[in-house]
Amino acid sequence: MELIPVLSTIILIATISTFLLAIGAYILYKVRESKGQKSSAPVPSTINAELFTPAVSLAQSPRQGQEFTPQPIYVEPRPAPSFQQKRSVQAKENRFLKYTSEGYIDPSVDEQFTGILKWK
Amino acid sequence: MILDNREPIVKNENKGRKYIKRMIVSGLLSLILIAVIIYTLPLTVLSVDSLIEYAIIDALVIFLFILLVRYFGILIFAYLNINKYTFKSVNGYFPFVSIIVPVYNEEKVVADSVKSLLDLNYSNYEIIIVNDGSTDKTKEVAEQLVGYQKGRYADIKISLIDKPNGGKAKALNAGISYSKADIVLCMDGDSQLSPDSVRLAVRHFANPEIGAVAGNVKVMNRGKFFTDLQALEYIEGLNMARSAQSFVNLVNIIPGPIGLFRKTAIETAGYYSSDTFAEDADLTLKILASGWKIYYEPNSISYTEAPDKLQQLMKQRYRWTRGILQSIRKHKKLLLNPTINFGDTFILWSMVYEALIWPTMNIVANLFFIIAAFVYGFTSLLFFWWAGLALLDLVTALYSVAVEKEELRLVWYAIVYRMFFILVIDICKAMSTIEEFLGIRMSWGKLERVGLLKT
Repeated sequence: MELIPVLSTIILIATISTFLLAIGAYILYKVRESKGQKSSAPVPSTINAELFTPAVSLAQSPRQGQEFTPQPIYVEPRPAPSFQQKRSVQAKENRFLKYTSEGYIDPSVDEQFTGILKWK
Repeated sequence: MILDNREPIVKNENKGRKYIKRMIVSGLLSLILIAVIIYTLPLTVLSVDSLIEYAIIDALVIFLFILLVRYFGILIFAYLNINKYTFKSVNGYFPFVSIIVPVYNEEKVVADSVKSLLDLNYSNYEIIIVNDGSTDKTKEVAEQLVGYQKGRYADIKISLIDKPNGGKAKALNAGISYSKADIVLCMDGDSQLSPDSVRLAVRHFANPEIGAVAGNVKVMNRGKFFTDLQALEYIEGLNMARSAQSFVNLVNIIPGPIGLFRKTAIETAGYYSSDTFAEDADLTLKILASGWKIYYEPNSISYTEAPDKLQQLMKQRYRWTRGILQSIRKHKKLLLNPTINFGDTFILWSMVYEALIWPTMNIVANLFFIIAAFVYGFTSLLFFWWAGLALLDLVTALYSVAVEKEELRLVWYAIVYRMFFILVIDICKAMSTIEEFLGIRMSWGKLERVGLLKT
């Protein structure tokens, strides 16, 4: 007897059995579920919950056993801003800077501001 | 402690009228289509029998084409994601993490779950157990755990919130509201985390665009036929797809057993909602819609107890399917309008495909082959169909098992995976879909746990 017809028949029977098994299991599940159905009660807008939390803080809690080194909490070092960055930050803070022979200065800081450029 | 227990306001709409309208529209469209076929058929060389024959062949070719595109699409993207993956840590980035453990009647497993959390390779975290009105001794067991427990590197604070029963979403919301951390880890009460799970997942939050990180869920209770099949499904079906989605930072479901969230992302998305039965899928879609990106960390592993009986499996998949359909319906605006958020639209259509289109196609294809075998005697068609799919599944299973360094013995389950397991799941999905569209009431359906998890 050839192999393919035999395998085909096996797969055909297996597929039909799977269909029947799945549908049967589903019906059984629904029947069992329907027995445990309960009516739902109205839901309040707020509910009270009980909180159980340890009273002592971590610092007060003496560690039993070996010493441990706690890992740092996000202390990623940031590089110091360069001159260009400082200038761009300054420019963002005040878009209207005044150019003098000493470089850019804030007009509000310049008490002698008269609108005339200063020259040395 | 007072908790907000309000539900999102649902518009009061006349469901009966809506269904009648839908039936009339679809009925009219079907009649128009039939009229067009009857009118145009004499103008062609086709007879009615040959039309049916060609239509079935076309449907099968389209089915096979979509199947192959889906398989290779997932495989290619997952491969690209694995190539991109790195173990590189972010120096000095160890934010404070709150681990929220919602429990409902988990007296057998809650202590083991918490013990696994104390063995984490991370020091800056706390554990918040939320007892959702358990009726067994869960509260008593959890109360024993409250305090500063010895962790791997530091003493870990364990708190307990005992609230009346309100569902997993509300339990998680209670824990998130109480937490003062920037990052929260939400898990199931019956799951166990691998020691490196938090350390490896947390580093992705150094990127300010990442709103959440999905972990890798694995089946713990292996060794039985059903649980081994599910172990293969988690590796080949779920994790592989998640890895592919992660390549474009669009993971569609952050799994319940392990999901890390930036607290601001949850706040902007509007917390977990109880109006669907897949609160994790719903929150994921809301986070994506808020503009956050979601990453998948394959080495953040959570071990979970899979249902080992067919009825329990049905119960789980029934809830998953209806929950996903509810989430899709809730976000249908995003589904239909890609201009709001294209990523969300893409993800929602892939969910429609997985939940609706694929199971229907699979069932119809199998029914066709059964009919073809009985009516026309083409028994060998079913064999070749099965052989083709089994070969495809074997190759994918081998690749997935190799990538995840999993048990090689699971690969052989690929032979019966599609013809038996997927068919059973798809029939359950189809039934659940019908029930969802008919609006039949459903309950949460708590799975029975036997407490196999041991640290």
